Amino acid sequence: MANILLVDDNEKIRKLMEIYLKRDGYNILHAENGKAALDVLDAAIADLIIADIMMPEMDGYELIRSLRNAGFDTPVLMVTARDTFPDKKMGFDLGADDYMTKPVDMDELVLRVKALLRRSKISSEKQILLGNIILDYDSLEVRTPEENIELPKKEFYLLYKLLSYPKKIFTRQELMDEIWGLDSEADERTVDVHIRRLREKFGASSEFDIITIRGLGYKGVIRA
Amino acid sequence: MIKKIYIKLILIFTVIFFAGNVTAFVIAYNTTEKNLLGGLADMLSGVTADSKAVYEQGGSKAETIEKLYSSGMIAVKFYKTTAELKKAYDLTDEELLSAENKPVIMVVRAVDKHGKKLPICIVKSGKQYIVAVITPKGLLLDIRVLTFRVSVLSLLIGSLLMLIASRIIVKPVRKLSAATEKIAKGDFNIRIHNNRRDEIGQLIKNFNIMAGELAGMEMLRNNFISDISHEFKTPLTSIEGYTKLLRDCKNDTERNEYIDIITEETKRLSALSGNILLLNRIENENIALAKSAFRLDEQIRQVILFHENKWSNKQIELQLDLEETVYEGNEQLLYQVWLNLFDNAVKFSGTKGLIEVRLKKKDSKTIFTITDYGSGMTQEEQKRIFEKFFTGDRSRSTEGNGLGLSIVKRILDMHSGTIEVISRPGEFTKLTVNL
Repeated sequence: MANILLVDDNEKIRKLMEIYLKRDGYNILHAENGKAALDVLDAAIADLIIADIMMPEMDGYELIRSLRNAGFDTPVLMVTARDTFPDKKMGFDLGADDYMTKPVDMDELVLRVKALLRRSKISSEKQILLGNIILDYDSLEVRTPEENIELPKKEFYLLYKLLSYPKKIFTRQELMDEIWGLDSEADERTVDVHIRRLREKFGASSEFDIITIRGLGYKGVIRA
Repeated sequence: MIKKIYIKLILIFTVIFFAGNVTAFVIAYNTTEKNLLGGLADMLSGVTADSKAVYEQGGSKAETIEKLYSSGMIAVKFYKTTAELKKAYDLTDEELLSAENKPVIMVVRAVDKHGKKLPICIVKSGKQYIVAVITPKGLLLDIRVLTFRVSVLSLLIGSLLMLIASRIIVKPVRKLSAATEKIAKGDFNIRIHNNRRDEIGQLIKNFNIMAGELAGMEMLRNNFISDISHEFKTPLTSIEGYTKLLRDCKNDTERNEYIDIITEETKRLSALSGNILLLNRIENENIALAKSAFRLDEQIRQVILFHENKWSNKQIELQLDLEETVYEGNEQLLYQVWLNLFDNAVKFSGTKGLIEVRLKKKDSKTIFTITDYGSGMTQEEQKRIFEKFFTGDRSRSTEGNGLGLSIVKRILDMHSGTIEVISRPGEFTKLTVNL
């Protein structure tokens, strides 16, 4: 199972996180600050890192910076008491994948770890597997047992995004910003049009569904 | 450099006075020279004429007459030969000729120490020439010298008066300085007595206002801190108490109950500390509100998505009608407003409840309404919900600590916005925000 590295100078917190994460079958590695974390990473591979920000010797920001500069794209979840917007922004700018502020609900922590690992797997393998269907990012194909359907770029990315985060609602604005880009001339109705096309192509028989939440946006769900 | 303002003022005064006087002096000297010397010239001709008259009367020798005038302002000199005369005053023959009969004033090349041409009066008497000229002493008793003396005196007297007059500025400044020091040390009760209307009076008036504001803030802060520590003590007492009970507890149902309570109180403490930090940050933000333009409708959607698990767990139905709106304000703080309002709506809605959220633009105003069909609140409660630490019926609020809506109000105040509530107990609660 996956290796998770916990970086925090407070031993009690690490112990608490370990108990919760071990229950879900993860292997746990410990480090009490950024520097110790780098030492651990010299000898072992971590699939995910949970890091505090305020630590002696090397703080969380420094740690991420070093990791990203060295080419490590291990997902990093920051868990910290620093809760202002500039703190968060700095974390994300440096390359953190997610950010939780203390006090942290441990159950939520576990859920986020799961989601991060799943995303990481998807982005590293560039494929989504749903039962009999495979979405292949590089070829823009949706492969079913019956056929391989190649989709136009935007349609594929839209579907891929929705199914990478199943059950998560995305607003039209969010989808537009990510897939069409921030400077795009496209408008929110364009997203609607693409969704309609996807629904036409993948009818009731497919393994997934795209649901409209009125006023909010869309979500992709995987049928059981 | 110079520490005392008195000394500065005196020096300034002295320099101005001195400069003024010297300039006046120089100007007066150069423009009135002719007149001044004109007055002297009359005296010179008088003396010359008298000397001639006395000499020609006989009875007095030249030397006697010379000696007579030797100690005065005007000296008389007899010249026996024209050669001497010409040498002394560099005169031409025409000029000498003109002095044959009556005294003639000439502004000659004779110069005084300052290089100024002086008048002499010259007349011929018999074979001799009588010349009257101003002596150094005469020069000294000139009005110019008198003026100079007057200047120095008035300078000294003026300085003294200036010293006294300066108090009009220096005294209040000193008082202000001492009072400010007291404020720096934390004594906000100091006030300065003010009976002036000028700029210094205005400064004192503003100082007193400032001291009043600081005293007020100090009191609010103290009250706030004691309220907060009170708010912390209650949940902490529960936690401590129930934890102790847990240790001795054998009964499973009881144990679970205690654990639930402890969890609940802990959550309440988390929310409380978060809110306090937020409130503190808001108070500081007050001084310079950072504004930016952003999509308000999108922000509200983000808030709703943030709470997704809460409302989907309760199977709440959402009716959203959000008009595309761009608003200029503090994005982070307004996020908190929608978060708190939506949070409340979800909290007080029952399972499968309905929450309506509307965002509309009307003229230049933006109107946001959120309606939940949950527990509602009484008239009493409606009046007080925006107060700090007011939580209404405690049995209903499991996690609340009463700060949420006071924070909302505070943020809206900062944006010059308003918030109103309409509610019927057991039926609905509708909050309207005007921005």
